[in-house]
Amino acid sequence: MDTAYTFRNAAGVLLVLAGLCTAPSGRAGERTSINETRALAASGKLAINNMAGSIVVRGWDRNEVAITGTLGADVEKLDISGDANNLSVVVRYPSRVHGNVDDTELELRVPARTQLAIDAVSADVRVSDTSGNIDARSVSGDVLLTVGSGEIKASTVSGDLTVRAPAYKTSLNSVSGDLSASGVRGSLDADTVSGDLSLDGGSFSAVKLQSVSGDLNLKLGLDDGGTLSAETLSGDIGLHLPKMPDAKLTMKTFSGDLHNGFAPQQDDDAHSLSATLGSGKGQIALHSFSGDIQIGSDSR
Amino acid sequence: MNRDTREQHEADEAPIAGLRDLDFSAQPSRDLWPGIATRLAPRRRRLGANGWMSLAAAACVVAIVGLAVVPAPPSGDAAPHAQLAGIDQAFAAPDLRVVAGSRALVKANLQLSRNSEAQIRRALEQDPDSSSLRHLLLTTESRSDQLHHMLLAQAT
Repeated sequence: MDTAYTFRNAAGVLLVLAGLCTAPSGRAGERTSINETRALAASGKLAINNMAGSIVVRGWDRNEVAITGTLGADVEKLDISGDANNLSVVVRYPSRVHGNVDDTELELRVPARTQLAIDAVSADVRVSDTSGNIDARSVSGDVLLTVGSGEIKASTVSGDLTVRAPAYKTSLNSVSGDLSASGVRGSLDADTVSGDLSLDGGSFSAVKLQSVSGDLNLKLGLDDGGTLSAETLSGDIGLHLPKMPDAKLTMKTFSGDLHNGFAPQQDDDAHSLSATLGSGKGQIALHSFSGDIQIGSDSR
Repeated sequence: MNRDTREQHEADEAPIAGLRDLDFSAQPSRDLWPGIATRLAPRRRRLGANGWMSLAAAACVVAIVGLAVVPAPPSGDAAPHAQLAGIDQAFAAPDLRVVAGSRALVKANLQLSRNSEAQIRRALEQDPDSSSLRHLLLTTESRSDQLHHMLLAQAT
């Protein structure tokens, strides 16, 4: 251990005494290993902020957070603050650092029911084996959530966003990244500008989907009386249901094609279609300006 | 231009240096909105590196003009996340200055979103009674605003 490292630890002790908790920081030009542990309540809240590199979070059955990985060479410090109910882990850079920072790889083990707030710019985010609510945001990094969470809110600008969860309340959005959700149910609200959206889930009480030019590929079931609306400008909409739904169906496209697999007899030139399927209790509205719309039975 | 602004400007410009000679004032030689009755021609596909760089170049022009007329937000912490106290606090805008090219990428996506708004408006001219197009326009405008604010948060 060199003098500089000892000094930083001494400074860290002083910060702890002052009521702050600061982990050892990286030295210029040298990556630093992380090995930190903090107590966190079983249903505690954890905020994680890492701009570049990766954030990997896995749940476990301990009431503590273990942080490992590697700090980028130009990181000022790994700032760990808060208490056992509300903890924050932030990778901080000196104010003079602009552009092209070294990646920081963060790996965290957290109590399985931790409520997570994750923020990244180019860092990829991966969360697994947790069941607390998640709010995750990235700019260009990909986000992959393989969790048991009930509520999920996630967004990217250009990164792809993948959710595999039995969430009952889900909100997803991206500008140019693709969205993929499987296993979700209850209510889902998702929108993209140019990204494709792939959905395999249900049963849903309310689904609202929008995309300007991305395609919507949907395999889902609806609750009794459930509602689904999907709107695009030029993206295609494909809806596959396990059986004929009990819903009022409207399909409309200005210049695309319509195909209703539940009523094969239809006018090939029609750009608007309304039908009552089954009891008609629910509602399905599929609208596109120039995309094709197709609805049919799922072969799964 | 102060030092930080100059550094940020240089960082944003670096990835697209090869496109500086493009003439952005050139007008299309033909109507780019043909055949609306049959199809909207431009379909979304993931842009390759060249596509992003082209969008970024165009976005930079738009952003420079935009930032010249939009007042900068009140000066505050240079790193908004430094104020992050806990999960209950709303996310601050991400610090785009730290990661090279991230501002250019957000600008390119803002341009993409603005272009999409324009497409929706043109579609509304063809189908003015479409409530779904109006919903889509509102959502897309909201997304553009978010990206715009993301850029402004670091425009100090």
